[in-house]
Amino acid sequence: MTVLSWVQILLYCAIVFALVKPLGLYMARIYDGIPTGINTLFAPIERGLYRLFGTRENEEQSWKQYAFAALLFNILGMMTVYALQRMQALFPLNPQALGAVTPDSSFSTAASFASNTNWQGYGGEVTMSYLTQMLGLNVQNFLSAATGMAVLVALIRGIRLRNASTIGNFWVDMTRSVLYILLPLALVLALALVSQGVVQNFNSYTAVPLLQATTDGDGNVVPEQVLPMGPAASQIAIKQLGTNGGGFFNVNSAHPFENPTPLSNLLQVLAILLIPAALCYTFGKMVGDTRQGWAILAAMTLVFVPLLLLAATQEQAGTPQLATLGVDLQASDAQAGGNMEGKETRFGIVNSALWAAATTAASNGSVNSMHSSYTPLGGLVPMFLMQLGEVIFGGVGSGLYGMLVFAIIAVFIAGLMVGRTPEYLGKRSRPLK
Amino acid sequence: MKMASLVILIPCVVVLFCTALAVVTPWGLGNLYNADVAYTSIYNPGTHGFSEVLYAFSSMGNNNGSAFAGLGANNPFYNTLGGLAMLFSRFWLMVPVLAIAGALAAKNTSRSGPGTLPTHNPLFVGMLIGVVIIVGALTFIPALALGPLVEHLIMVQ
Repeated sequence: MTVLSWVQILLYCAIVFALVKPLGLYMARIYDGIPTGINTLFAPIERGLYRLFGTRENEEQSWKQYAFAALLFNILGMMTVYALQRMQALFPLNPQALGAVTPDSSFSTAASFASNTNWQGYGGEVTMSYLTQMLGLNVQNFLSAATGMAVLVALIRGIRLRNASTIGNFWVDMTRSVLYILLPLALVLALALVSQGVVQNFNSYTAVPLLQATTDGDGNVVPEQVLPMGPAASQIAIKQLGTNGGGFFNVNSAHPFENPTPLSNLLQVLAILLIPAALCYTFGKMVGDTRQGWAILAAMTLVFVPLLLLAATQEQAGTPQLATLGVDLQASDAQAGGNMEGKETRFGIVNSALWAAATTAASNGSVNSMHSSYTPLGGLVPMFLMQLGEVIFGGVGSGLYGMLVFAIIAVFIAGLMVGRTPEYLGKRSRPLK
Repeated sequence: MKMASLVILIPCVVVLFCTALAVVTPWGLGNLYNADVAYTSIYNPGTHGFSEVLYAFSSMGNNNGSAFAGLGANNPFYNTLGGLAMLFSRFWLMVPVLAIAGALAAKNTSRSGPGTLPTHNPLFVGMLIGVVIIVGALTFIPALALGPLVEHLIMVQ
């Protein structure tokens, strides 16, 4: 790898780590209801929402009530997304007059966006109307991320509380996650992305003349191409921040309207790990011992970095088959070298490998290169990072609650090995009653 | 502990079960393998095709959402099985996690003493990494050996 490749990886890690403490501290204050400025400024909105939906802010829920609320809320969200897709032809904001999505695809997509997976069997620009994207998919981007954060906060409270029968209020945790954490960050990121050229409009698709006319398979001259449009920036910001990953366009963040420049690429790949990493600090702060949070973050980083380097070096090395074909695999000022198949020239090898590792370490799933075209071991890295259970950073909230479960298991195994009582943060693990 | 084990095992079972189901049924393999099926799902024969299926269910079974591309997944089989995999892995994990939260909240905190294992030092970080990697490796190395690992060996031979 070139010096510049190392610099880019180091710069990336440095920025993520620099943001962990400020953002983590901010989130801890939000969940504990400590004034931070933003939550005093928007408190009337928060209280208004509670009044509107009949939520009593100080009413705590048992874990069963909390789980019931989370499941019910997500089922309703899923049904809404399903219905919107099936009926999109009847609704406005559909300039391409796209018809109803098939039942099985609608189910898959609804399950996918409600579960913070954002697996996409469809191509955005040829399947979903602007309304479906905004009201169905993008709303779920916020809500599924907030659900993960709420469940994490409930688990942290469980660790912190003593002899308590309640673990907080799901509706309050959801509202605070969306209003004070996800919305402000998404707004800032969306504007930054628009500045780089990410599209944000309600126009119908635009035909533009080609610089050089070409011919199709039947020999007909093709003088123009159709460019998809839409409110993309607002969706892309939260898709990265909320570890959702569902692209507005079919090729996701490899599309020039989703990710036009190296700077937009850096901002987006930072947004992928930002909240999952910062939540480690939030956890430490909320349990009253920030060293616990740093230890979890260290474990995540020590798994992430070697796997990232394996992917980057494998892709930079290329394949013997490419060498046999006479391809110059050396990196130089003029070319990226290595295995560039399926990668964008504006990102090159290292930014593609960095994205692939970050997007699968966090349960994001957006891509800026095609993972199927990676070298076998380069492709193994993203696959293995997912198979570890999405706990190396993982989804917002869900990654850390998964990792905390692993910590409980690790304490249990250590307890077996050295004959100590298994306890994590003062809580002994005993069979569930 | 029972709930913690569930949280760790559910995605593993979902991923391996769905991958296995996809590569032994005609609907998962598609019409390049079985002419009766109306659609094509696995376009690449051999190990790379297997990698694509394994990747798809690793992605859906862990709520990631990225794809290895190349796999034709917009058909009733992958949409339905994948949709169920995503819901299982998300919500059947969330409920045990909240059960753990409830159980922990109900407990009293014990004071840390000389018998307490510290959970903020390098030893514990190493222990945690060990558990994550060993569980992941033991579960998935056999499947990875049929996909990317054998592909690598074919490439360099």
